[in-house]
Amino acid sequence: MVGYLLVTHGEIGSSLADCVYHIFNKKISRLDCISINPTDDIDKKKIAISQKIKKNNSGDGVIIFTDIIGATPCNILKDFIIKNKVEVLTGVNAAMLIKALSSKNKDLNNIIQDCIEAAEENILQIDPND
Amino acid sequence: MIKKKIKIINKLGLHARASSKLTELASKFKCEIKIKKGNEEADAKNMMDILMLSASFESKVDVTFSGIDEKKAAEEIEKLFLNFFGEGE
Repeated sequence: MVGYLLVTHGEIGSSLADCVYHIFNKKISRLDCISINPTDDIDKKKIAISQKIKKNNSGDGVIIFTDIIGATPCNILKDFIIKNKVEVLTGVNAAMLIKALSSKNKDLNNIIQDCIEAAEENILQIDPND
Repeated sequence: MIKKKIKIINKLGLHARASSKLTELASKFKCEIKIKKGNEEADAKNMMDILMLSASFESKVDVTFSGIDEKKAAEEIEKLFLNFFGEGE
């Protein structure tokens, strides 16, 4: 199964993880979080990211979610991308995570496409009469 | 095919955790299960599909069951709705 890692500004990632644990009513072992804060030693964070990728990769690859393209968490992650094995997705939201964690038998690239579609489809203006 | 019209009676409606429970239960059956609210239709085995229905308290959904174990699925899915998705209210 594909593993997951959230690398975000501050506690965005861990808050999203808490949200999906609540929804699925269980802790998900193949999902980990690393927060990046202004005073962090980036080299130490890179070591932590590397360790988490290793931990969560059962052979089917790892998808790393981050919040904003071009920001430090995203920029750090570029060094870890291995085509079709370790991939990075920006713009993480709860819909993407739910979609990813609901997928049990799909390969990494299919899950990435599903996540992108879920994220796009779930940005909507709510009609109170609907 | 079995069709059921079900009123959502739990206060929070078909919210994320309820949808997760519904998906988990629906996925245990081989039959196709579709949930329709207005013109929108969702696959009951796909949580994001269900959430997109935005089905709140007291809204009505049409649920169709189609396949080998449809009778058992219809019974259990209806029970989950009527049991407030295990939320107590």
